Amino acid sequence: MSTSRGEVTIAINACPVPIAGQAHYYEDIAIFLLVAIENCDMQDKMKTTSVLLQKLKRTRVIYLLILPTIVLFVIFTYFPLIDGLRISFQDFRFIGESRFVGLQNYVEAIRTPGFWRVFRNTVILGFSNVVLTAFVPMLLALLLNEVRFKAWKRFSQTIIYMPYLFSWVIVGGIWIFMLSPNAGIINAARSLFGLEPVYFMAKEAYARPIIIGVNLWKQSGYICILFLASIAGINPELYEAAMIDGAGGLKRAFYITIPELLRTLQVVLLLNIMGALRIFDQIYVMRNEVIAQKIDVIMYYVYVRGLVQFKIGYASAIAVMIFLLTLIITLLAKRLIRYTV
Amino acid sequence: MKSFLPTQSTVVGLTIVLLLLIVPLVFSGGTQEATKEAPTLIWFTSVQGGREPAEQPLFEAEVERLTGVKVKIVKTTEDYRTKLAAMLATGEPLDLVYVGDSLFETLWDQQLFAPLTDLIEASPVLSDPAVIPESEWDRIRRDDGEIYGVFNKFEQGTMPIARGDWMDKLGFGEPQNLDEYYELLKAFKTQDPDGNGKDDTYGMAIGYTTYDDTGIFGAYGLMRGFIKDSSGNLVAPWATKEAIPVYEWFHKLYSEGILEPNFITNKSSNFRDLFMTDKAGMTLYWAAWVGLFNQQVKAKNPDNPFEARGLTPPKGPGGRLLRAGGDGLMCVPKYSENRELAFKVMEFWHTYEGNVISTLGILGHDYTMDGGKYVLTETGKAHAMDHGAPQPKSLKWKNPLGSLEGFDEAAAIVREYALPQMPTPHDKVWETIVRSEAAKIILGDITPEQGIKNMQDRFKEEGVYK
Repeated sequence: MSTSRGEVTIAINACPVPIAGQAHYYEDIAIFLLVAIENCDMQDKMKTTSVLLQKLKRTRVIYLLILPTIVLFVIFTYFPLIDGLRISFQDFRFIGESRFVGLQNYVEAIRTPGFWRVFRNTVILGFSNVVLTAFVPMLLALLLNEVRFKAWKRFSQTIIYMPYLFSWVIVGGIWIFMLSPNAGIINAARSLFGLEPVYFMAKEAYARPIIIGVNLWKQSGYICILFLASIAGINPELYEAAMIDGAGGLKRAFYITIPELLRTLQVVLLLNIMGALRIFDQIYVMRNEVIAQKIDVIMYYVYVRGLVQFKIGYASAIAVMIFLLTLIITLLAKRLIRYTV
Repeated sequence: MKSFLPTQSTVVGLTIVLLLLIVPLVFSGGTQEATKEAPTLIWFTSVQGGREPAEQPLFEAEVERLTGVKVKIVKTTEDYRTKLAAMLATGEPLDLVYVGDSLFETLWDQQLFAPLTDLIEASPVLSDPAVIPESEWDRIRRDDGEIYGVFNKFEQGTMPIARGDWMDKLGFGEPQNLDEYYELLKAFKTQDPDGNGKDDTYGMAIGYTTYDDTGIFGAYGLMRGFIKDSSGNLVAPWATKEAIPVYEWFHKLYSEGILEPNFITNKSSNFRDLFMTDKAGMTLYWAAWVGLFNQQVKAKNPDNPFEARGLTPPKGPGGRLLRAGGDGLMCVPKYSENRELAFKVMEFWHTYEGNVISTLGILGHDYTMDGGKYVLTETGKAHAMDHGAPQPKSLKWKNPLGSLEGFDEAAAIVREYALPQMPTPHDKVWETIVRSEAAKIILGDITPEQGIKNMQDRFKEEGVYK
C-alpha cells in the first residue's frame, strides 16, 4: 500500500480460505483505515466545500479507476471482517444455529497459557524481523553502492535478490536440508574443524535464530533493491560537492546517502511492522514439534485452533485481536516515525 | 501528463465492464436448478479416485458407467482438513465426504453427518456379514445407536519392515525381542549390508519422531494415543513411566548412530526413500508398503535383490502389539439433498465391481480384459493397484491379479497383533506433545523421567488431563 497526495493504491491480500485468512483480512482493513484517516486529515485541511468539490471533479477519473478495486475490497475484505467479528461471539457450527456466547471465546483465549506463549514468540520473532529486515538490507545496499566493478555488482545483487523469488516451501526445505546433521553443508563445514554434528532443527536454543536468520536471508534482497533504487535517485551533485570538499566514502555515506535513505527506511519499517504479526508460511514449513514451543506464532495458532481442531469461534476471536493489535501498533509506529524523523 | 489520461467515457465504460465481470463472479451459484434435474454427486476425498488429476474424469466416467450415478470428485491430499473446513464453512454442496477417524471425532461435536443406519441395514451388500461382519458395524456405532459412515477399506496397520535380503545376507532370523531387534539394527549399521565398502547405512529410519512406533512400544503393552482408565479419564500410555525402557532403547540407537539422525524432520517420503535406496535396513510403516516397497524398487530394476519384509513385532513384558489403522469413513453431510444417491455409491464401493475400481482402477486405462483375465496396463502397474482402497473391506474380495510381494505375510502379522487406536478429539494435541518430548528424550537432551513429567504437565495445560 502506498499513499501520496490523496491518491490511494490498495493491495488486496486475497486469501483463498475466508475463515483461516481472517487475520490477513483484518490487517488489510487496518491498512485501509489508515488510508482513510490520512485522507480525513487531508480533507480537514481544505478550507471550503467548493475546493473539495473542485478537487473531486478534477480527480474523478482517478476515483473511477479505483472503483473496481474498492468493490472487490468491500466484498472480499469488509464482508469477511464483519462475518469474522460475528463468528467470534459464537459457538460456531458449520450447519444449523450457532449459539451466541458473548465474550466467552475472547476470555478463553486470554486464559489459555498456550496463547500467551505464541504471543510472546510472535513479538520476539516479529520485532526481530522488523528491525533486521530494515537495517541489514540498508547496510547491504550501502556496501553494494560502493562496488565499482559493475558486473560484480549486478552479480551480487542477483544473488542477494534470488532467495526472495523462491516460495517458503522451497526456502524452508533448502535450509532444513542444509542444517541436517548428516547431509547438511553446515555440519559438513563443522566436521572439517573436528566438531561434532549438531541437529540444529531439533534444538530449542537455535530455533529462533534460525527462523530470524532464514527470514532475513529470504527478504533482504527485495528490501535491498528498494534502498538501491532510492540511492540511485540521490542527486549526484551532492556527492561531487562532498568530494570537492574532501569527504571520504564513509563521510559521504553518513552525511549524504543515509539521510537520503531515511524516507525509504520509514516506508520499509512501516511495511515490516504491518507484517510483523502475519508470520505464518515460514513457521508452517520449518516448524517441528521439538522447537514448536519457541517458534509457533499467533497465525499458526489460529490455523491449528480453527482449521485443525475446528474451534472456529475461538480462532475468529484471536483473529479479531490480531486485527486490533495490528491497527494499534501501526498507528503508533506511524506517529512515532513521523515525529522522530 | 494529462494527455495520457483516458477520456471520461472510456473510464466509465471500462468501469462498467469490470463491474459486470465482478458481479456475476460474486453472485454466481445460480446453476442449482440445472443440477436438480440431473444431480451430480460432489465427492470430497483425499484417497478415492484417480491417482493424478488427469485421471479424475476417467474415474468419474467409470463410476457413472458402473452405477449410473454422475459424480464429481474433488480430491486433495495436502491440507485436507483445511480445505474441508473451508468448503463446509462456505456451504459448498458436498454429498459424500471421506474422513479419517480422528477427523471424524473432531467433527463429531458439530453434528455434521447424517445417520445411515437405516440404509445400511436395508442394503443387501452392506448388511451381508460375508461382506462386512456385524461386529465391524457395531464398532463404529455411536452411543445413540446410529452409524454415520461406511467403511472405505481394510485399514491394515503399521509394523516393523526390514530388508529381508540384508537379514539373510547377514545371517539373521526374525528378531523376537527388543534386544534381538537392537542386534539386527546394529548389524545393518556396522556390517556393510549393501556391500559397497562404505559406512553409509543406518539401522533404522523413521520420521516425525514417532510417526508410529507402536510396534516397539507394544513390547511393553503401550498403545499409541490415549486410552481410558477405570474412571473413564484419558491416559496417554507413552507418557507413563512404563514407557521409560522404550525411550532408553531409542536413545541407545540414536547415540550409537544406528537411528538415522533426521528422525525429527523426516517426512514419510524421506524415510521411505532412505529405506528403498539402501540407506536404512528397517523402518516402521504401514503393512501395505511392504508390497509397495518391493513393487517400486523392482519396477526400476527387476534384478535388484531388495526385499522388504514385514516383521513380527518384538515381544516384551506387555506381549506383542501393533496399531491397526483407524477407520476411514465415507459420510454424507446432513444438508446433502442426495443422501440415497450417495449411499448407492458407497454400497457400490463394496461390490465386486467397486472393489475392482478401488484397486485395479479404470477399465481400458489401468487394466484391460484379455480372454476374461485382468491385465494391468503400464499405467495400471505404475498405480500399484491403489485407487482408494488397495485392500477392500469386503471379505469376499480376492484380487484377481494376486497381491504384491510380501504383502500377504505382512497382513497376516497385522491381523494377529494389531489393535485400533482409540480416536479422540485430542489426537493432534497428543502428537504435538508426545513427539516433542519424545524427541528430546531420544536426543538425550532430557531424561526419560523429565520428558514424561513434561508430557503430563503439558496435557494438563491443554486441558486433556484433569
